[in-house]
Amino acid sequence: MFEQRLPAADFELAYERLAAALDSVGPGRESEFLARLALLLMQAAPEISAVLAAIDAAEAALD
Amino acid sequence: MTRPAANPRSLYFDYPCFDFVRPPELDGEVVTHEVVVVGAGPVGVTAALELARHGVRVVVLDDKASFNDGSRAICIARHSLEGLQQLDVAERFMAAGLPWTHGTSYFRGQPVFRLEMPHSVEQRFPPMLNLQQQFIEQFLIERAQREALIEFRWQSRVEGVTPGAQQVTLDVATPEGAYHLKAAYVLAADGARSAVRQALGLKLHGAAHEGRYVIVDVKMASDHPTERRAFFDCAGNPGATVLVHRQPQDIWRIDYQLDEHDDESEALAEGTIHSKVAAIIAMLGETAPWELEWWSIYKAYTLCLDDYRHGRVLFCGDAAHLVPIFGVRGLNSGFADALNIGWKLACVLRGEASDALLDSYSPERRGATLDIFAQASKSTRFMSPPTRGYRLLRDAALALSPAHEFARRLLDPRQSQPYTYAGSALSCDDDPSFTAGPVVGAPLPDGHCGEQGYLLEHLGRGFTVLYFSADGRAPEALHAACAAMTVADVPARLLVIAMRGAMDAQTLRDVDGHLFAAHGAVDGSCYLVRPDRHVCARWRQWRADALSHAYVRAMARAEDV
Repeated sequence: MFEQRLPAADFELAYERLAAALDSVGPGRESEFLARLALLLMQAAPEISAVLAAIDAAEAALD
Repeated sequence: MTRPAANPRSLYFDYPCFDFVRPPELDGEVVTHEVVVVGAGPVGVTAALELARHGVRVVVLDDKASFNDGSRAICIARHSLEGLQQLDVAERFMAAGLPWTHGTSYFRGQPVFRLEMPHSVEQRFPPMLNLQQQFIEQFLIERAQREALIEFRWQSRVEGVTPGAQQVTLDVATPEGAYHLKAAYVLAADGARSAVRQALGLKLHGAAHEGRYVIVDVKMASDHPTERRAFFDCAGNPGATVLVHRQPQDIWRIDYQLDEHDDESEALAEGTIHSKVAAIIAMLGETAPWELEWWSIYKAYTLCLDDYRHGRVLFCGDAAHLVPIFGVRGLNSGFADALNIGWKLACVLRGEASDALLDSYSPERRGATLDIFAQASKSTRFMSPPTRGYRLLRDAALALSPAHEFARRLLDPRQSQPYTYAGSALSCDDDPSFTAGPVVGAPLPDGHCGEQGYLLEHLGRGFTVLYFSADGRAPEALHAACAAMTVADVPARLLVIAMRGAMDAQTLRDVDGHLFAAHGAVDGSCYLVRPDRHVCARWRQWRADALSHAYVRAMARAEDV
């Protein structure tokens, strides 16, 4: 469970922006784009525990 | 549409056939009617009922001889029921409909989100009520047929509209010939393909969204509770979305998304639909026999007129705006249109307000439409992702939602909510000393008043002044002010919310103070509520001059606005 940090409206804005970016980069480069985005967001994360928890949660959601 | 529209048949509903009655205009009589409503669908008849409630005589035209066929709009929101109770039809809706408060979303077979809509003892009506549109139309029309002020003219098709400075002339075609029908005002409630709109050369503007849905009604016995079920990428429709709703009379609504490459005519073939529905019913785990009842196809649009008023012609419902079904806003916003314009037209026709009052209709109701567009566009992109990027993010949110609240919020279908007329020219500035209660422009929420029932059933036919009093007494000047604030000759109703003192028809007892608290009120607080139950002014401490000023403003009287 992640603490809600972004206000809902900001989160929805980011969601829309990310969807558009994914479409812009195209299917062939989605993984590359998402990996770079993840690194940048890791750097913006407040602490290592949040990053590790996010990695665990994303892995768990693939099951 | 595949089931015959001209002669609807149904497994559970007997469509009436309304005879054509020769109108006096066909024999040369020339009458200018106060209001002609074009379209006897639920929005048009609601508008007619609201006009009649305010003493306005109405002619309702419809080109059909019966109701619209099929279940169509099935979800009635609480705020609509709260408005419809003023028309004396809500009880019948409640008796026949299926209330619901929650829903479940599934992703690849697993439940991932539980929708819970707020509901408490303070509310008379449930957050949602499922009822087929045939019943909605039947109940409204049967209610309207008891109104001496409402005249239905069936099998009467509008073929031309001539606007004028003092009246509008409609060219009406009937089985016995054509005639001209004159009216001071015309309300166009004739649906998505509005003949009035086309006759005036007006266009809807906006966007079309990705995704087409086949909408199917099935008759099937099942004891599954009434809830909204949404299935994403499910066994019954791999890679696409399915929505399931229960309706009265053992009817189940199944909406399933088509693949972008599916041919529409093939998709609407009965055999194709039967196969598809069979797979979905198997996925639901239902084993009872079932039959197809009705089907149609749907595509999401966010389209509206640039202005809902064109001189003496006013547009409401689908004639004015088309909104996506996700969030059940179409008919519910149409009801709000009808209730908004009804009292305004009555005031103008009675000379209590100038024509300027009608200018508030489009900003208020088109504002509501644009708000719906913002919400519904997000819902639609979630239900039917338009691109691969949206699809990737939607599926990620679905996968994360069981464990993460932030993702669950994206699954919320953003069900229909009443709109706040913020910034309306009819509203006063809000009193900043309030810290709770409905803001100016918002609809007055309901509240339980013990043995006296619910707050909203006590509202007046015109304006209502809610006065909060510790001992149940109200200033004499308030009584005098209410008498002067009329709508169609009916003075404002003074409703005293009292902590103590006697209960009577004008005084609601608030023993535990919950109504005071819900309105952020203290002894002496006051709300001015419009006939469509939207708050147009409020004061922590009422002042006679401020109340009169607020009424003048709410009537768009020239000296003040």
